Amino acid sequence: MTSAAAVRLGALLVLVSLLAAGVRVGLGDRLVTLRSLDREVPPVLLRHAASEVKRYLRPGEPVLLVVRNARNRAQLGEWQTALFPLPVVPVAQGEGPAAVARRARRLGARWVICSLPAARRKLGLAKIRRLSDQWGQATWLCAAPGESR
Amino acid sequence: MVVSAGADVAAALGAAGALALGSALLGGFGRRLAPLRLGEAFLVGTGGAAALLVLFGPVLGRRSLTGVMAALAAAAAAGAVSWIVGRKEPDRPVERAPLSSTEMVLLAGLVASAAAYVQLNATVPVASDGWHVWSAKAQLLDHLGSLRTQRFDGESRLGWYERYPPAIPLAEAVVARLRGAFDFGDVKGVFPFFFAALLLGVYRAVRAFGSRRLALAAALAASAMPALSADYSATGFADMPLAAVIATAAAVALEGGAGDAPSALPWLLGAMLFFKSEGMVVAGAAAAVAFAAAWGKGLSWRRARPWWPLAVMGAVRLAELAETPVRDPQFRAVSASALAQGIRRIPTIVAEGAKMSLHLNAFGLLWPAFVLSIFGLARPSVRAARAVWFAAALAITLEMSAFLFTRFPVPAHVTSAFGRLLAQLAPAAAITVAAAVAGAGGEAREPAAPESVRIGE
Repeated sequence: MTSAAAVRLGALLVLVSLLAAGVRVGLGDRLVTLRSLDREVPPVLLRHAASEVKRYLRPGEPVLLVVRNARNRAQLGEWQTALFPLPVVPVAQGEGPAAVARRARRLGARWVICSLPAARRKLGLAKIRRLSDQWGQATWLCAAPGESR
Repeated sequence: MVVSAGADVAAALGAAGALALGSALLGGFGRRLAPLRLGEAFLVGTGGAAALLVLFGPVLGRRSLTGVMAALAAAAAAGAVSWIVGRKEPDRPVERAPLSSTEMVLLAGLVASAAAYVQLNATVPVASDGWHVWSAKAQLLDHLGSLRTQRFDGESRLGWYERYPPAIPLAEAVVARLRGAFDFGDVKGVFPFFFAALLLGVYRAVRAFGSRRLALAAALAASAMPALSADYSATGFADMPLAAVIATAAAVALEGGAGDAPSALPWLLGAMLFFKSEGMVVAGAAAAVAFAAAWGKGLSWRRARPWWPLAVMGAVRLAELAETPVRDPQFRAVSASALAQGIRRIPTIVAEGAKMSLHLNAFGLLWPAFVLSIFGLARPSVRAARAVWFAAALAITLEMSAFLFTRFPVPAHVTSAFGRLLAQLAPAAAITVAAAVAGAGGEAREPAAPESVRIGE
């Protein structure tokens, strides 16, 4: 085989490998991809949940979001986007019920979004409405501490 | 379907505005751009509009988006008048030779593959970065009319992304404004136009030195590649649009010859800065290679002058960054201790990066072929493609260096991010592989037609 023929064969292999990958991913894995998007990626679920949350909020009213700790706020921006332009204010699960109640009163927030069962118990949050299951955990809209429902 | 029919129309209007603005910036009014140059004008127009958005910020405030849309509309109106009364001949020869049977098969595959991408893009919702980075910025821009008006504190996720460039959010926000409401599905209508520009760029780049059959095969390879047509490219990420700019810049460079500065190349490198942060690295690598090539021919003011668009757009982007003090907390600040720790990470970064480049379901065998292709670029007919190879290799090396400073576990960060960096440069890899094939003989470009029969020159 001449070097030119070897180069062309190699290039043909590259093209075939890409076509095979395109067919496999584009067609064969599409259903899997869509299913995994439903399961792992929050936009669809979160946007649906956000539309439910908005029913409880007055125009411009902030809502608190319980996050695991100050450095782990993966969900914050996603909720901020989903509830835009309503303000979403993070509170760490380590803050006590009194501190969270104070912040809620100061901000005029009546609702808290929380997907952390331990934090709900610790902060004494009353579950009002189940919103969605994100990353395998149920997310709840809860009454802020001190708010009577 | 997540993209409505009305959104497709709005996206087409926005693309037409960008096309007209790009034509104006490239001095295209009064002459008709050849079909192969439409992608180039669209991408330059998109980058130019993003630069305008930044420039309008301090002056127009919350009316910045309206100002950019007015500029796009004015360019579209002027372009339409120019199209009607201007020269009828395209500014480049248009290929009219009949297609061979092989070329028809390749073209059919290309059309089917592109249609599959369009369908996938219209079916899959925005996800991950496509959602909470790019379309979230578009939502912010649509709501506030300017990205300069800070809305969220620096610790929030949106705060991190304030430094991300505005071209894709702007294109999406234009759709929202034209539709009268923001919708996370509708904004995806913009992406097929970037995909078309990507395929035009790859075809054009290979056509600079190779046969039409080879160019069609390279475009088909880019179109079928899952990294460019599925996964993150179908979920609203900005990597595929940046890949389109890179492919088109490579085409312009190859048509003009390495080392020279053809008029559109500085514009395209400038546009890169406004598509993704990595665009700054790629533009820097490409400019460095062009500078090195020009060094051999002797540097002069006359040679440097055509690069003013890159200097202006770079200054605008740097000014925007300087005004946004929020730092991306995914990376540590550069310091002696961070560097020392980073150097110990190099073997892991290289190993994980190599593993990612061999991900068959994303890139097929493209990247091993890219590495080998440098040995096939010695012939004079394809020697210019070496500049593309070196620029791509330099950009990959520079981009990998970012992982030296990551706060995440290195394998996790490389796995989640490096594939997208490779996707951005995949068109350049496809072009250099095609150049190696042309250099080996049999697929070189046919000799140019005599001057007397060339159209519009």
